[in-house]
Amino acid sequence: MDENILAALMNQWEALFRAGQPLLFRKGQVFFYQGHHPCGLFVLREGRVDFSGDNCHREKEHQWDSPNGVALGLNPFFDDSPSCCTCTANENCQVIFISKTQLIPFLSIVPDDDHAL
Amino acid sequence: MKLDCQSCKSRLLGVMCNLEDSGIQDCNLHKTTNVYHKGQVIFYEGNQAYGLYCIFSGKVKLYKSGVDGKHQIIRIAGPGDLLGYRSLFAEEPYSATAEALEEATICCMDKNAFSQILPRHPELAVNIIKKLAKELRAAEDLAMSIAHKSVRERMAELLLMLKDTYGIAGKKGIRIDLHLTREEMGEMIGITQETTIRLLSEFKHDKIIAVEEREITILDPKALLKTARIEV
Repeated sequence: MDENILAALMNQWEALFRAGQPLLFRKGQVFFYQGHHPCGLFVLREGRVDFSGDNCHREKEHQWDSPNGVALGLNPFFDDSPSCCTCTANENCQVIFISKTQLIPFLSIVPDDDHAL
Repeated sequence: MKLDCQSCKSRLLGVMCNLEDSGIQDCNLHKTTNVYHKGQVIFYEGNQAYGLYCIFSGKVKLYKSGVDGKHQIIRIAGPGDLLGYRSLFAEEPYSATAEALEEATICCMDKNAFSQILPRHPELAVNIIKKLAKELRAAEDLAMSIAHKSVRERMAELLLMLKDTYGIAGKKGIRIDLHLTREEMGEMIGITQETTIRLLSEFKHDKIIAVEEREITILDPKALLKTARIEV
């Protein structure tokens, strides 16, 4: 990808992140269920999450040590496909929620081949 | 799953019934539709509100949790009902947890989309105000009932409400087409599961209701009205 485009995308992403809504999910609460289409992205700021589900490409009932900044629900959102697993807060999790409405303008500037950015 | 708001029959039952075409297009663009299985949670009490939900099919219970962990069901929602909008208006956390009582297809619109759509469609705002007024009235009635009525009167009132909302006329009487556990029925009127079972047995003994395989049929609505001290 062209460096200028990449820089523009990164700026957009940072703007989205700043405009996102901080949320707290308590231990045991579900961010999204297997088979669901996400209504936005949850960018993890603090805490750990579990992924579970029959078709999960990760191990079943696997506890994932999620690095801060990872966007939960990213692949289903960009692929417009249902989530392959259920994502649950393993402890209290601080996230930034970036809604579908906020993401639509961003998607329009991402070239098709680079949705996995 | 894609559902078109234009052809959605459930939309006609709720506050979006007279939404203009441009509003419907806005909703279609921004919403996400998902199927929730029984027991799955749509949103949690105390979490900051980030979306509102419109039920296409199925039923959802909304409950608050007490300090002792006991639940109080505040509302059962069905097709056409909106969930979570009060919290969005008030910019407060969700005041209750929403959980699917049965398989439910639900559309979600995020807070940003709702904030954009509402000012452009005053007819939607008016309908929501009407809905809020009705819910306030229902909440006042419930508070009054819990404060001043006996458990037997409250149970009679609950059965009448279930009859009016979910009743299907049959040969014997009016069958309540909603599968609630005895615990959930108790949670709707602030009584224990044991008291719920006892009261239903009493009503059954008095031939006011019939219970078959946990399904309740109202046989004598007049007796329920009298028990609930409701004047027609």
